[in-house]
Amino acid sequence: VTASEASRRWVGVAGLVLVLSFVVSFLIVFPGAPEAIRSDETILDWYSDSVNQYRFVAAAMIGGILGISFLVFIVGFRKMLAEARAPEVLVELAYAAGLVFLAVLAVGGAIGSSIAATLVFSDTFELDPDTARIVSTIGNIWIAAFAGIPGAVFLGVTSFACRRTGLLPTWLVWLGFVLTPFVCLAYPGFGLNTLLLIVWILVVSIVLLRRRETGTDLPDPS
Amino acid sequence: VSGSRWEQAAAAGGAIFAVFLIAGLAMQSVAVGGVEDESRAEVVARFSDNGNELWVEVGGLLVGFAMFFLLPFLARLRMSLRSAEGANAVFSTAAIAGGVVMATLLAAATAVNVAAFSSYDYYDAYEVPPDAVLLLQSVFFYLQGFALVGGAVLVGATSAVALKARHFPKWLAVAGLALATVCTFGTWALFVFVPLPLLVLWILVVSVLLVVRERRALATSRADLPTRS
Repeated sequence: VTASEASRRWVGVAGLVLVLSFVVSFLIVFPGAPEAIRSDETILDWYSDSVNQYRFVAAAMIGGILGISFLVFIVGFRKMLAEARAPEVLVELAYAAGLVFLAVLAVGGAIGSSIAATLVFSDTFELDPDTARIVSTIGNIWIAAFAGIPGAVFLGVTSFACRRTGLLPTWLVWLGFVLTPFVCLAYPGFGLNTLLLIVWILVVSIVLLRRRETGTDLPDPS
Repeated sequence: VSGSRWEQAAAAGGAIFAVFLIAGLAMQSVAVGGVEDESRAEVVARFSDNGNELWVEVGGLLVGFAMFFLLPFLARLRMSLRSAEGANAVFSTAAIAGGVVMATLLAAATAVNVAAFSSYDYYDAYEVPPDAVLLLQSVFFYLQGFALVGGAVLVGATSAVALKARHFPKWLAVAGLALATVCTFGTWALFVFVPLPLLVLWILVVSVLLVVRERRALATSRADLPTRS
């Protein structure tokens, strides 16, 4: 066994918390939210409702949990890869890419929730629907699109390192390889493809926790 | 320096980053032009222009490519610095942290700029709000300025190791410390334009030095093979 039991447990739990907080924050904000293609009136009506404004504030708070759990996930995975004697360049690359992915997403969250937050905190702010369109385009589309690039590097490099160390089962390694180019194409995909990384994290977390529960040993990399 | 093929490729990422980033930023600056001196009508016309949108979107794509190649370079640089620093690897950690901040803020700046130019094409009901797009240009500028501060940490920490452990040539370390000092001023440094291209040039030079070192290490290890057998 090359990766410690504790690391696997922490990475698995952190991954599940990450996915759960992502889903909850998504469900809080997006159902009923007007897309930027809607009319001026629809956008203004939605943002003028104080319940909708507080949805963003609540989602941003849950975003903090998401950020912390993702940090635990990448730091734990880094430790597992190092313990499994993965090549150092891959360990460092996965770590750096994970950090950039998280930081870019955090910027996106801050920008995406800025309109609703300003409406909550200011009594004099008057929203221009076109400003709302641009801000949501930055936060929901282009930031997610750029996050896909380090996200793909994290996914691809982690999968490659796991292939060399046997840290994850072969089918999951190949799933990572298949998903990597799709995540990398988040720029032409307007950021939607980045969600595939969340799916991969969910599957990895379940696999790591199940291995712990069933006591399945990890293969020896040699 | 182990000189494996992967490590060579990772080291070369810095040079590729430099090429893509300069091309991407140049394309975006074509679209942005002298927007700060224009009338409201000219601002609206600039941000409603499909040609400008194309320049910014392709430029943004190139910045994305640049980011892709910067990451392996950062990983390889950290490995290299850590081996020079020994057990107390403070500066190598600072260097990768600076690089992560730089990459993040460059991506965010580009996303802001792309959104400002592309919204006109995406939404039928949208009319370019001149105040908002001018505001976003300031956000774009300031994010690049703070990216420069991240770059200052990357360059400064690397140069400190270079001086301390003679890891890179002394002239590069001294030049790096001077560049890091200037880049620390962030947005103020951007006003004089030169620091950002110099930062990219510094990454290019370090990347080339690492690749040359890797190739020599690889050649040496190959030459040693027959004698070992």
